[in-house]
Amino acid sequence: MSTLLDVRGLGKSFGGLRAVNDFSFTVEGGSITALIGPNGAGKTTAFNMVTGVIEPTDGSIKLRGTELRGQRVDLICRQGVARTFQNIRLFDHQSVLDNVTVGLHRRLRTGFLGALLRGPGNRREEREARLASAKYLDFVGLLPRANDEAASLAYGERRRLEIARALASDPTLLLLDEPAAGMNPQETVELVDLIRKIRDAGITVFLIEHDMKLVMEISDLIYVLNQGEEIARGLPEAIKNDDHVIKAYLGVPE
Amino acid sequence: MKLTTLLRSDWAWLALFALLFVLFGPLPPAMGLGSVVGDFGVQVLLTIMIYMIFGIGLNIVIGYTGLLDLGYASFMAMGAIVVAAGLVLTQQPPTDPLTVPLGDLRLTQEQRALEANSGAGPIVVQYRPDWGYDVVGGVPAAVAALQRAEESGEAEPTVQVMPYAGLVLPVGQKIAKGTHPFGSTGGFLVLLLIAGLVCAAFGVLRGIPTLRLTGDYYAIVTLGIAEIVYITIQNEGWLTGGAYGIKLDGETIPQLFGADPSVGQGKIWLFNFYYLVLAALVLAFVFCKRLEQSRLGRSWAAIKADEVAAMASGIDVKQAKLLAFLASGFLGGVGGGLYALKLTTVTHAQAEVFESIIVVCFLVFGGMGTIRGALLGAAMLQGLAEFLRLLADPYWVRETFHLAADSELSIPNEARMLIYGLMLVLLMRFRPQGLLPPRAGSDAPSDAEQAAWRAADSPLFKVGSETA
Repeated sequence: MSTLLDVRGLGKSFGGLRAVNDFSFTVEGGSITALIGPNGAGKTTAFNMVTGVIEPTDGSIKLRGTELRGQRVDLICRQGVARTFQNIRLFDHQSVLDNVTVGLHRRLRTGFLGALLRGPGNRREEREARLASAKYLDFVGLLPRANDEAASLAYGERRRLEIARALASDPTLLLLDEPAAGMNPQETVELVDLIRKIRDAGITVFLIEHDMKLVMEISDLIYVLNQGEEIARGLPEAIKNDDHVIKAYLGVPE
Repeated sequence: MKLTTLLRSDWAWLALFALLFVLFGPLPPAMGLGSVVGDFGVQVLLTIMIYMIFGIGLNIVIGYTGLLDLGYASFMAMGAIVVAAGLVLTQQPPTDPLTVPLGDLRLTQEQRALEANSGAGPIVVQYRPDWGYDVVGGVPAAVAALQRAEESGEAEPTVQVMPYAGLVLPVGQKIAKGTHPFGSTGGFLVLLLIAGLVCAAFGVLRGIPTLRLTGDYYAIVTLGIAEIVYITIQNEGWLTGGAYGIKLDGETIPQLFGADPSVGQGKIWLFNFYYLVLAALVLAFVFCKRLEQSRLGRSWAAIKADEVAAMASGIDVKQAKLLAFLASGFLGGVGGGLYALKLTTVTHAQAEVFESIIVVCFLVFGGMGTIRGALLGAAMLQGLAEFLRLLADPYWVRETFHLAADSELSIPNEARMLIYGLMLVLLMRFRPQGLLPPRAGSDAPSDAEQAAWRAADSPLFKVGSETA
């Protein structure tokens, strides 16, 4: 395994608030790496910096040696980094299938004139895009809902659709921001299977999660953030028994 | 096919409207060129068709991309000005002199009193049907010719005259229109394309500083820029005619498919123009529909729904927005260019805020984000506006409803906008999404369809290094 994502000295200040401070971490290719911590620890901020949604104050973010810091969000996506969002950002009033087709965007070529002329190349590309979108939906188990409006999906289905959309961009690194939030136990079990399936297919997964059972079950390596600072890193077993982690989550007994 | 499916089909609505436009439009020359709805009705239909093009164009930015543009009148006006100014400014007077009986020349006392100065260039005359040839320039030469004729005692002296650009010829008399690069059908289409491209370029240019803005901020900036355009049009008189605007007349209006309005073919010309506008409307529809159902159209919809998610899906949001401005501006320019021929007088009033708001109202009324909504909104609201204009005319009301000859019954002029506004308020109260809003969902795929998808091989489907 080689290092896919190498982040050093990452920091972000919002005015006087230091949301993330000097956070260095690596994500190994082909692994499932988790980022955990109490609410407000700076996990999502770290995700947003990796994907370019917000600009870091300090540090560097290297994907296989290429600096991502300062690049536009869409260009980072084009380099193989896809993500889902904590508060699910689907294109609600489009069909489920269309949501996935948008995810294919970077792999399609038709431009303005191509769309107007609608030549054979464009028609073939559109046909293939529809088919591939359907297959991505099948991969996450949503094919029967392909023609429904995205807003009509149940919570767990919405999360899976977001994953399908992210997969459609053919990422090497997939960032999942609390994929199990709001899911019932059955849905969570299915999600664990799905994440494993994605990892086994060769996609590196980096996730934020509050469901400790899930995190401990699937993670190869865990980073723990508290108030913007890294307080622990290690294998699931070690994290489970780490004093700093227990203290951060449960507080110190008086 | 089910009625609901038809109601949700843009193509069905286009077909319906096209059919109505053909039925109520001017009849072909073989059938006398009249129309069921009369001359006024044809003008109303023309206006509706042109506003449908505006609606389709603005829908790209507001309906698809989700940016409230309150300055679309800039494009409509600029397109009209490019065409009108292009027609007027490029026109050269005809170079062939005419030979006119000198007796027909009307010279005033002052002109006669001017000292003869032969060799002062050709005489420029204007023909008036009720008056004969009126000398408007090159007077000394005319005086000289007249004096020569008097001295030599010619019975019916003639003189060579140069018609000037505004020359109105008697019916039936045909001379070359002079050199006029845009005077033919092809030339006019080129000019229309130029108008579209100018407005597309302006759309991109206007878009660049607004790329980061969304919602109210974007709306206010477009409103502000529209005001700048309005004032600029008012002040740059060399191009736009200033407050007087540009007047197109028989000489400057291009021939369309061989019909020339300046030589008594006005009805044929109108028939040709009507179908040219209808063709433009259908083309605008196809243009927009193809963009909607493409990778770019999906990008617009994604940006409208969630800009951050769109970016994270690899969409270059700035580029997609600029292309939306470009496409929208292009249609505005082309529609404006056609409107110039319909109006024949193009003034800065075309760029007023109210014009922008009207087109926004079409979209709100018809349902934001669908072409069928834009078509229906334009037809209903523009139709209503014209109908209210008629109702404000006591003569029309008297004639139409067979009222007593002394009847002054009509709605007050001020009430027109009131009724218009009331319609919108009622719509917002009872159907805020508009009459024909976009609908995403359709029937679930059948088991057979699903099985076919699963079985099919797709080169694009790829999870990690594993392929299906």
